[in-house]
Amino acid sequence: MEVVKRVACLFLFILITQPAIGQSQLNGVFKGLYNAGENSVVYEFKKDGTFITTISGNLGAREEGKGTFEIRNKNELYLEYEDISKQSLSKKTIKRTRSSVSNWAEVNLTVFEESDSSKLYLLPIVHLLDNDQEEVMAISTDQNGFTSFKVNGETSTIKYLSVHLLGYHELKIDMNSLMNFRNNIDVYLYSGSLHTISKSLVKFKIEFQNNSILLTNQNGSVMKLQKIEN
Amino acid sequence: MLRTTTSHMKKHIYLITLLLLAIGLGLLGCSEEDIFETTEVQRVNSIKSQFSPETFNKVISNDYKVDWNVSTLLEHSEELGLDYYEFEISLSENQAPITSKLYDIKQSLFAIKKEGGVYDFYVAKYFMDRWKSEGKSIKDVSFSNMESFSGLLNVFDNNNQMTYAKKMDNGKVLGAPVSLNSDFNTINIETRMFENCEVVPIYHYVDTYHPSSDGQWWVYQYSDLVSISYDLECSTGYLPELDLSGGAPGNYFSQNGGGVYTECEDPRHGCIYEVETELVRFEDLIDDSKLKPCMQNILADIKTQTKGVSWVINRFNYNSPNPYVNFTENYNWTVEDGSLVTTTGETSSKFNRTNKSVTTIFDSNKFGNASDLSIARTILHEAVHAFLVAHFNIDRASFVQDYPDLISSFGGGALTNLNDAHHVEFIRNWLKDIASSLEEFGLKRGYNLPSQYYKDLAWGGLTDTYVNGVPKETPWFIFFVRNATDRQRIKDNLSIELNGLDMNGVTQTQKGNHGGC
Repeated sequence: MEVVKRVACLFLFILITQPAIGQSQLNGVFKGLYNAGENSVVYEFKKDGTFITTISGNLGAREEGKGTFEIRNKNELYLEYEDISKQSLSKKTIKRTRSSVSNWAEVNLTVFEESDSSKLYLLPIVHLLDNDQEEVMAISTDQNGFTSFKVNGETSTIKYLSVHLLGYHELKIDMNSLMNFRNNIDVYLYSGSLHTISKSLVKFKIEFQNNSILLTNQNGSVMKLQKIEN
Repeated sequence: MLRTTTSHMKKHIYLITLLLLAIGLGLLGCSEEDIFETTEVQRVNSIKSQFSPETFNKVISNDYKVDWNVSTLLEHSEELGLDYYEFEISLSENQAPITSKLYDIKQSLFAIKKEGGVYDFYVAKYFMDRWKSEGKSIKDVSFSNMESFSGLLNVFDNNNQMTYAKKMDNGKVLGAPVSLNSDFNTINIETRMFENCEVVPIYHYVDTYHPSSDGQWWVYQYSDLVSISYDLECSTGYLPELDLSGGAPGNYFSQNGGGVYTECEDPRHGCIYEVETELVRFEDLIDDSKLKPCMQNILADIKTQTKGVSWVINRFNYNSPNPYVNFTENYNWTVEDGSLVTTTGETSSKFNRTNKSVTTIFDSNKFGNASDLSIARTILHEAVHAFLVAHFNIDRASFVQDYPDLISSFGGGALTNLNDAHHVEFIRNWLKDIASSLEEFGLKRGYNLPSQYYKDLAWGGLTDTYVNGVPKETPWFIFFVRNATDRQRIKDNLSIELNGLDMNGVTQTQKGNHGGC
C-alpha cells in the first residue's frame, strides 16, 4: 500500500511539475543559423517566462521582438510576442516662415543620409499618409535629394508625412504641425533596421538535445539552436 | 629685189636667233618657272599642294599646322648646297606644348627645291639650350639664322629618320654636321653615333586606369612611382632628340590623359620616364589583406576565373564580356575576417566615401565545417550585395534606371528589410550567373559535379526569411522552385556544404573539399 501511495505521489508530482521542468530547461541564450548562414536568430529565454528574439541578416537587417513563452505537451513551444515600439534615430530640422495662404502647408524637403550628410536622391522616399497611416502617394526626391509639395489642410486626406526607405529608420511628421507655414525641412535618415515583431503567437515543436534545441516550424523546417549562454 | 633679199635675211637672222635661244635654254636646263616669272603666292601654293601633313605623323605626333607664310623667301645654303624654304610649324591650340627644362623647342618644315618645281620635305627640330641662350627667343631661330645659336638641330624625313644633325655653341658648330640623306651632303657618322653617353635616371611609373561608368573607355586614376633605375644612355648622332614621348627632363605631361611626373631634378642630363599602363579588373581591387588564409585561397581562385566576380556583376545590365566591372570607377570591395555574433558573412549597407569602399566581414570560425564550395558561393553572394550597395551610393541615376523593381520595393512596404530587397534582385538577375561562376570554381578544383548542383548552391541565402518572428521559405523560392522536394534538396545541399549536416541534422558527405577554415 505504501508502495502504491509512493508511486501515485511520484506520478502526481511529475504530472504537476512537468511544464515547469520543460520551462526550466529553456533558460539561457540560444543561437541558430538559418538560410544557409545568411541569417541568424537568437532567443533569450528567461526564468520568469519572458523571452527576447533578435533576428539578423545582411546589410544591417534586424528584427526584434519580446514577450512570454510557454512549453505545452512537453514538445510545443509557444512564443507570444507583445507590441513594442522603438525610437527612430532619424532626425529633422525645420525652418519655417508664415505662409500668406491659410490652411496650406508648403513643404520644401531635402533628405540626407545621417552618417555622412550625403543626399538621398532619386528615390521614392517621401510618403504621404492618411489618417489611418495608409499611403496616399509617394514622392521621389530629385538629383539634389530635394522635393517640394503643398497640402491643403481642409480638403486633403493627407495627414502624415513619412520619410521612409528600406534600410533606414523612418521619420514621421504630423502635417498639422506644418499648416499655415512655408516649411524648409532637412531630414537626416539613420541607416539601420527598425523592424519589430508585432503582437502575435508563434508555435514551434521543440526537441531538447545536449546543450541545444531543435525547433520545427509548422512547415516542417528544422532549425538547430545552440545554447551560448546560461 | 633688194628689198626682198633684205627681208629674207631679216627672217633668217630671226629664226637663227630663236634657234640659238632654244638650244641655249635646253643646254641650261631651264624650267618653265625659270622662264616665266612666278609670284611667291603661286610658289607657296605649289609647295603647299605638294605637301601632305599626314606623311609626317611619325615625326610630329600631335595635331599640327604649317604656317604657309607667303613672305617666306627662298634661301640658299652653301653648307648643304641647296635652295629651300623654311616654314614654321605650330601645334593646334588643344595640344599640350612640348616642354623641357633644358631646351626651348621649335619645329619647322623644310621644303627643299628640286628640279622642275618639285620639293622634298623635312621637319627640323631646334633645341635651344636655355642655359646658354638667356634673353634670346627661339622664334628668331631658323636655319639661316643660327649665328648665336646654342643647342641642337635635328632634321627628320617622313620616316622619322634623322637626316641631318648639328650641335652648336654660340653659333659655332661643334665637330662636324652630320648628314645622312642624299638631299644633304653624305657624311659617314657611324663612328660618332655613341660618343655621347650619359648616366640617366629612369623613373618607372605605373599608371592605373579604371573603367569608365559605361565601360567604354579607361579613366586615369593615379600614378605610382615604383622604382628609379640608372642606365647609360648613348645618343645617336650628336645628340638625339630627347624622347619626348617617353619623357623629357623636367615635368612630363602624359599625352594619353595619364599623370604628371615631376621627379626629375637633373637639368643637365635630363631623365627618362618609363610609364607602364595598368588596367585594373574589379578582382584586383578587392582588398582581402585582412581575410584569413583559408578564405584568401578560395578568393584567389575566384579572382582568376573567367567567370569571376566582375563577370557575375557585369552579366546583368550590360551583358558585356568585358572582364571589368563597368561602373567600378571609385569602387573597391574590402573583405575582412571578423567575429560575427550571428551570421557567416555580413556586408555593410554603408558606403565608405573616404576610401570608396564597401566592407564585408566573414566569420571564418563559422566555416569550420564548411566546404570550399560553400565558402565560394558565400563570397560570390556577398560580392553582389557589395556591388549593389556601392552602385546605390555612387551612381544613383543609373541605379534607379537599372533596378526599378528594387527601387519600388524600397518604399513599397512589401518587403521589410533591405536584405530581402536585394535578394529579390538576385533572383531577377544573378542566380544563374552565380551558379555558372561557382561551376567554374568547382571545375578548377577538380570536381565532377552536375550543373544542377551548382544551381542549387547558388540559392544560398535566398531560400528563407523571417516574417514577423516566423521563419518561412521566401515567396520567390517557392515561386521559382515549385516542387517542395526540390526545395528540400536545395536546402539540404546548402546545409551539407556549410556544416556537413542536412536540414534534419543528420551527418552527410560534402561534395566539396574541406574549406580549410
